[in-house]
Amino acid sequence: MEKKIIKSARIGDEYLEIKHPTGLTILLCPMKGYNSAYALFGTNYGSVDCCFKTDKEEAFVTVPEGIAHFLEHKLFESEDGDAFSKYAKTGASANAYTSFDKTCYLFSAAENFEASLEILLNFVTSPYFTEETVQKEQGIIGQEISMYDDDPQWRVYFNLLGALYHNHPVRVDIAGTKASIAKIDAKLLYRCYNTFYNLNNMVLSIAGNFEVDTVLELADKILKPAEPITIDRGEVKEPDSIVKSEVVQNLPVAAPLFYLGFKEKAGDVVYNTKAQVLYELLLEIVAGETSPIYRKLYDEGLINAVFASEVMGGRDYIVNFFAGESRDPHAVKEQLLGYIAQLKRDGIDPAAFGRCKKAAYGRQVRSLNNVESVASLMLLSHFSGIQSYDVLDFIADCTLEQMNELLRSSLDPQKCALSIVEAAEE
Amino acid sequence: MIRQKLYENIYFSGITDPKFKSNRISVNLMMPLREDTVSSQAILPFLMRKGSKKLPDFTLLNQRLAELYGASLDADVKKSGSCQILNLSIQSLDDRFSIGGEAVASECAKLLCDLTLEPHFENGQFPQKDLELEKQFLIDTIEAEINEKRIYALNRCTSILCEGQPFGIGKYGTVEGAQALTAQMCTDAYRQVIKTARIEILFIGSGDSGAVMEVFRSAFADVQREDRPFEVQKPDTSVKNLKQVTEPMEVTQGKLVLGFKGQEMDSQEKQNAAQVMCALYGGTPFSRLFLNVREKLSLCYYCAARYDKVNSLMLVDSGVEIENEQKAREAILEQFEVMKRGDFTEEELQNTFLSLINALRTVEDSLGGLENWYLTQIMLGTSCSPAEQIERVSKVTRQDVIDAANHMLLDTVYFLTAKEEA
Repeated sequence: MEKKIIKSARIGDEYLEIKHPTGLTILLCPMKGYNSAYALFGTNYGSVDCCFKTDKEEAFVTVPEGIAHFLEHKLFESEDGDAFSKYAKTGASANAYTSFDKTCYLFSAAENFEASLEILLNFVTSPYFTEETVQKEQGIIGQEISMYDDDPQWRVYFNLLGALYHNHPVRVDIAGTKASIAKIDAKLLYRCYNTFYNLNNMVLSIAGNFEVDTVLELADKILKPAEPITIDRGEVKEPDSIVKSEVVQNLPVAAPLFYLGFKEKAGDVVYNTKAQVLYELLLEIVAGETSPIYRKLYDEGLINAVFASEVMGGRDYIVNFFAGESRDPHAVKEQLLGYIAQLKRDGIDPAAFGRCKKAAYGRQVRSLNNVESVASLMLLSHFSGIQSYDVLDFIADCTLEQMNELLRSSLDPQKCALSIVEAAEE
Repeated sequence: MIRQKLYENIYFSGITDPKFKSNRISVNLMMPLREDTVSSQAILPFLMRKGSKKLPDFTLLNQRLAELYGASLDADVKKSGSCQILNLSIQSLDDRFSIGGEAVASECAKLLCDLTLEPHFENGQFPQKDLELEKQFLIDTIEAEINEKRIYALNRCTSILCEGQPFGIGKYGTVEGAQALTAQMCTDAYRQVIKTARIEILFIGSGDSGAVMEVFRSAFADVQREDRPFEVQKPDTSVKNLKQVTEPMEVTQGKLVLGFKGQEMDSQEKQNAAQVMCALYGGTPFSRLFLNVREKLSLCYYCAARYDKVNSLMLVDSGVEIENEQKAREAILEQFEVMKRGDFTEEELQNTFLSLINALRTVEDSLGGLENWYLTQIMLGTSCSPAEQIERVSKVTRQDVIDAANHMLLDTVYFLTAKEEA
């Protein structure tokens, strides 16, 4: 068993990275003084993985949209009852989530850590689906999809992705549609499970109050060695261009909601990860609360305190966006584009760069305050091909020249779309 | 928790824990929740968040926050029982992690004092421009409730449940109330708040709470205050006829909310029993509501119950297909009858304890969790730690839970439904 200590020279924190003989990567960060432990058992598999094959299979298979999320729901059930009723006996608070490129099962426990971890490792590695349980789940998830259909925040976001991406599955709702989930059956679920829930494609990440030996003993006891696997996710043919520059939907909202998004050039997963950290800093400099354009938009009543910028990225996609509520989203777009063009011409103000960098550094260190974010960061970093504390170094080592270069190669008005959700005119 | 009275009606509470890498300081101004003052008070934290005499400009203030290692400064309004709480909080990196060894915590405390006591005025009033923007923001916030259907339905049910009582008033007031605000009204309200509010200052983190307390002690030394007792109005828990309200809106999924009022919840023990009862009924993923109404019947995407100790209220909310409303409602009430009869197993009860204890122990692992916890303690007039609460909850018996269910009366059924096709 390979064990490695990952340490941050800057702040002194450290964690363990272990390659377990079964193929699983285990990341452990015991934290002094905390009552609870937070455990994540995740697979490098999400809603965008709709087409794939393994090295042992001849042909690619295309599966219905929403199947990763469906699988997440179904794994909670096994022959001897559902996982929630098992966690009930330990007191742990458990959950799971599916994102574009990850599925994670988690619990938070202040007592009975060992029993809770045993439940987690067991149910995620014991799939059990029948046609009957699959049908029942179609009803429950159908309700969940209805809820998202009514949610203006969710709609405005996915409408933007639909306007930016022609073919990439990131444009489709994580839960799929009522029509797509109707095509899911037990056989397809097993196919996805056997491909992506191979331990070589998974990570167990734990932070907080627990003993390292407890985890390793349980892993030895419960997990069975997995065959090495190579997963081919095919290649999505996605042009650089966008689909359309504007999309509007009517839903009952007070003030119109908008997302202004830029489709950025993606590289490999490590490149995308570092780029996301740097883009976050760049967006803060461009339109954060200390920037002149934020002030101007705010003073003109075009944005309010919910205005925010964010970067979203994964294996082969990166989007930068500005989002908020505005009575006039077009005016916001026009002013932001004008300001970005000016900034590209004149360069970033060194004082603004210094301030924003200090703020980003402070926030990153603060995020290591809690067990949840430490465990999540370890898992996300691993799937992204980096280590947790690299993020702090990316920020600390970043230079003004680097930022200017990044700015000039991104936020292209030709690759930008505006998504609006507003009330219908009566 | 160290708790000190700085001046009449002004308290400082400090919770220090070396495991954190940051500190959180908040100023809570507590005022009676009243229809005639709710709007002019609700806007104040947002006006105060805009600047101070020393940093009269919003951008200058934000730049200062960035220099303090990206300190987050938040303004908010909360309500608890008959109180409206105006909240300003700041959170930043502990001094140990600052690159140049700056005293970040004390600087944050000073900034918070300036914003609270020395706001930026023009001609003796809040600036007109700030007022217009924040008025609009307040209106947007009230209207944005519509976007969050689940929260909207809960709020509507609460207003109907507590009609005529302070807690029935929305914490941000109404759109009309916000529209009518003038700079003079807000400035007067500000002076009244600083003069009469009960003030609770909380410090939570790994830093030196003593140094931070001294910053507040000296800042508040010269503030002119009126001595008046801090009164909390007891909630009216009487139930007359069942109120049933259905409102149409553009939704595809309905939202059903049932409001219950706790009767004679006049001791800590009864409150704790009600909390355990509510958790067993609908507070966990193995609760009666979750397992029976959601999982077995597949009637709802969510179906949960929550208990509000300060007001002795229980709300059950669920998202259901419009045509299933009646079925869901019957199933929810049928499970409540189970609670009243005590037809739950010993295992369910023990599992509920485990879940509550797990949640209580987790409170101490985050700054936000600790702040909410101690603020609620202050509102309840107690100073119980999460560990002490675990002891108390563990003493609740099966009979206490059954009694609590029998002291909970259904008062309001609210249903947010789809608009009929024209």
